[in-house]
Amino acid sequence: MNSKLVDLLSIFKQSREKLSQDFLSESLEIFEPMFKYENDNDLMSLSMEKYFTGYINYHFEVFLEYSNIDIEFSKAMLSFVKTFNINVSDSNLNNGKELFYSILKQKESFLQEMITVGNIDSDKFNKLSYLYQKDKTLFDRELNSLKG
Amino acid sequence: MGFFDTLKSLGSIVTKPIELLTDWGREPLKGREHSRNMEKETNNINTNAKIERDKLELESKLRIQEQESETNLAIRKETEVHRVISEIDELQKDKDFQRMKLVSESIMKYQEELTKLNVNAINAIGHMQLELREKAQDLVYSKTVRYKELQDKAIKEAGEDLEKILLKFPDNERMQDIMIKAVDKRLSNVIDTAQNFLLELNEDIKLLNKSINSLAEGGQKFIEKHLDNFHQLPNNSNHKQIENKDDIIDV
Repeated sequence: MNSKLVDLLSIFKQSREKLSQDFLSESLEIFEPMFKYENDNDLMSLSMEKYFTGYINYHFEVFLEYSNIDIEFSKAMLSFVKTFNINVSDSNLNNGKELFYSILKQKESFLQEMITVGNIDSDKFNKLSYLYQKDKTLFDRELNSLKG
Repeated sequence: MGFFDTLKSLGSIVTKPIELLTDWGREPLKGREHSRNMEKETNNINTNAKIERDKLELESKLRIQEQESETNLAIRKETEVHRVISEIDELQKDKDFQRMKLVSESIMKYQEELTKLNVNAINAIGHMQLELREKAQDLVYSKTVRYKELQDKAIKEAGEDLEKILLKFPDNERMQDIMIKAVDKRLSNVIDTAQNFLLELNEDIKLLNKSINSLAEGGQKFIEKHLDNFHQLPNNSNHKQIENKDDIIDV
């Protein structure tokens, strides 16, 4: 039981190490959106969620290195994911952990798709704003240059 | 011719009739002997015939017995083969039954797992669907607000520009027309383009929603595929299962 607990704690430790390492090394996945989307709350929060979904899933990847702690890991992960407001009401995560991993992976890709859609739209909006501003400025110039 | 020869001839003259008499006397004896011989021969023949008959009889008896034995043996052989075959059949049936039992047990286990996974998957997928759709909706909403702000700003500035035009060219209707048209064009440009961009954004989000929905629609297939992997691979080979996950999700 003790060795199982040690294994379980190691999984969480390794995952935390990845989290702190990403911040210490100023990982692009975290830092780029902070500046890129400083004026776009939606894309900023989508990027953050994407990163943390990947972080949660990283636990499953680390878990593969261990064996015989299926049940303990499932229970711990259930409590853990709930803190991220991910709702898995069935406590029997044991058989479904690969499935759960897949779902989170899929969620990551949907979030990425959403960010891409948002990015494309931001570019379009910026272009429209610039073109409007250009028209407006040219008009003002013209109006000012004309004598009434 | 000597004396002895004469004596000899005389002797034969004397003995001949005696011999004749003796022969005559012996005749019945000879006849009886002949009869005995004949009888003996007949007996011999009869005996031989009897022996021959007995031999034949024995031989035929033996043949019959042999045939009977062969027949019995064939019957026994066939019966034995039948018995063995039916025993094998029985064994096969038992084996089939055992297999069927195992199959039905594994089906039950499979369904049990499927149910458990269903609950998990439906919860997780359902929740994720709602969450992602909500986020997509929020994204569209905030983008719409931004476009709306730009449009409002354009309308407001167009109004200000019109006032400026009227102030600057109060008596020059021609100039007013030209400048007002320019303002109109600028305004319609920004409104129409913003409208088009919003429609495009909506289309993109619709596609994304469709992908999100297809995850739930294909949920059953998704779970079945997952379960197939679950059964095929030994318990400690989770690594492979997860490695294949991208193939498993079919959306």
